[in-house]
This record gives sequence, structure tokens and C-alpha cells, in this order.
Amino acid sequence: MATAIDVIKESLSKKGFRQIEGGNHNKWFFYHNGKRTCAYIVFSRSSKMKDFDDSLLVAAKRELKLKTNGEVRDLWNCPMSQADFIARLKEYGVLQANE
Amino acid sequence: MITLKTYARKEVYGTPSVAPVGKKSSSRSNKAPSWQTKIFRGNISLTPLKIENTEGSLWPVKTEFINELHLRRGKVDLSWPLRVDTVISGNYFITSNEDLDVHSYGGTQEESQQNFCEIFEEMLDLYVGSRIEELTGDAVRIKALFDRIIKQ
Repeated sequence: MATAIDVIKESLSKKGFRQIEGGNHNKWFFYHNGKRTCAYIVFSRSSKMKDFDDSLLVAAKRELKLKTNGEVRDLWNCPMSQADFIARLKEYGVLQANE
Repeated sequence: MITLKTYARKEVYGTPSVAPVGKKSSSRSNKAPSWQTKIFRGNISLTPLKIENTEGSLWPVKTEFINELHLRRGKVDLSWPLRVDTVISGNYFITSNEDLDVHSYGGTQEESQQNFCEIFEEMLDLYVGSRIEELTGDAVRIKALFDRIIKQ
């Protein structure tokens, strides 16, 4: 299975992710309270790569600081809201409670 | 051409200059003592990978320790050896370093490693160019590592 990268980007942009310009790779970082977090995802700029293969979820979940492939799918297929994502990052110690 | 250069471990069997506690340094033999590290040369796996294997099938390819990188700006020496793991997931090779949180993938091992170098350099520029006030805690920790990873 695969998910269209355009669909993923649209979903991420609605949930607090911003694209960092420059370089050969599309880097999307999550911002919280105006600060850049270490949760991010990188997409290849290659025109050949239009879909994100499920076998890459293992890399995506490390970049996004999530624990399971299902959480990654939930993030970009919408069940996981921005608030839910922040709650996960706090639960996993990526964000501090006061951040 | 951007390439990864491996940090080849070079150790030689024989009597160590300092014997560990409880061992006599005078006990010579052709066989390496059981407590001594095995010899490894070249680009081979050094340690087994401990990758979460609960979802999907991950096949470890190799773990390297690199002490220099060939980036677009040229060759850079690293302040400490960087552990770089490569695994296969489905049709892709995934290359990563957990400390600096750099991950890449590619259809071949070479493509994945080349992407690793490119993403490493982009992350290096991004973190070194960022002010601490712009970052949350974990990002500050990564910035501190990127600030020191390149040997001056």
C-alpha cells in the first residue's frame, strides 16, 4: 500500500507542520507554540516519487517521533488531530509538559 | 560524488599493553584470549542491530562507524565516529543515525547512503543556523550535537 505524498503534505500542513525550503529534499517540521520541534519528515523531490510506500513507515515514525506505523497513518489520514499529536509527543517525552 | 567512508576498526591479536584486572599479561598464546575484541577490517557489520521488529519485516544490512563524510562542501572530518545503520524494509534501503536523528531511504544501498549524506548536510545547515530560542528542548539537544559534529 502507498499514500499519495500530496495528500500527506496537505494533511501535515493543517496540523502544524511547515515546509523548510532549500536543499534536495522536502523537509516538513512540526512547530509548537512558534518553536520548531525535532518531529519532522523528509520527502524526496524526485518527480518519480509521488506515493509514500508503506514500507517506509518505519523511517517516518522515527522522524515523526511516533511509536507505531498506525499512528503515522492516523496522523496523515486525519483521525489524529494536531492536539492528539501534541499529546503523543508529550507522552513520549519529545515535548515537555510546559512547552 | 558523495560517498560514505567507513571507519575501519583495526585491532591486532597479541598481548595487550595493559592486561585487564585478573589476567596475567605474560600469558602468551597463538589463540586470542576470550576477553579480547575480535579483529574486523573493512566495511563489515560490527554489531547486531536492535531494530524494533514488531511491524513489517526489517532486515539488517550493516552497521558502520564513520569518521568522515563527503558532502557537497567537500570532505569533512567528524568529531566522533558516527554510527550509521542500514536496514531493508520492503523494496527500500533505510539508512539512519539515531543520535543526530538523520534518516534516509533509497531503492539501492548506494542511493540511500547518498541521500543520507545530503540530508545530513541539509540538517547540519538548518540546525547550526538556528537560534536556541526558535527550538523546543529535544531540537536544542540535536542542535548541540550538530554544532560540534564537524571537526574544525
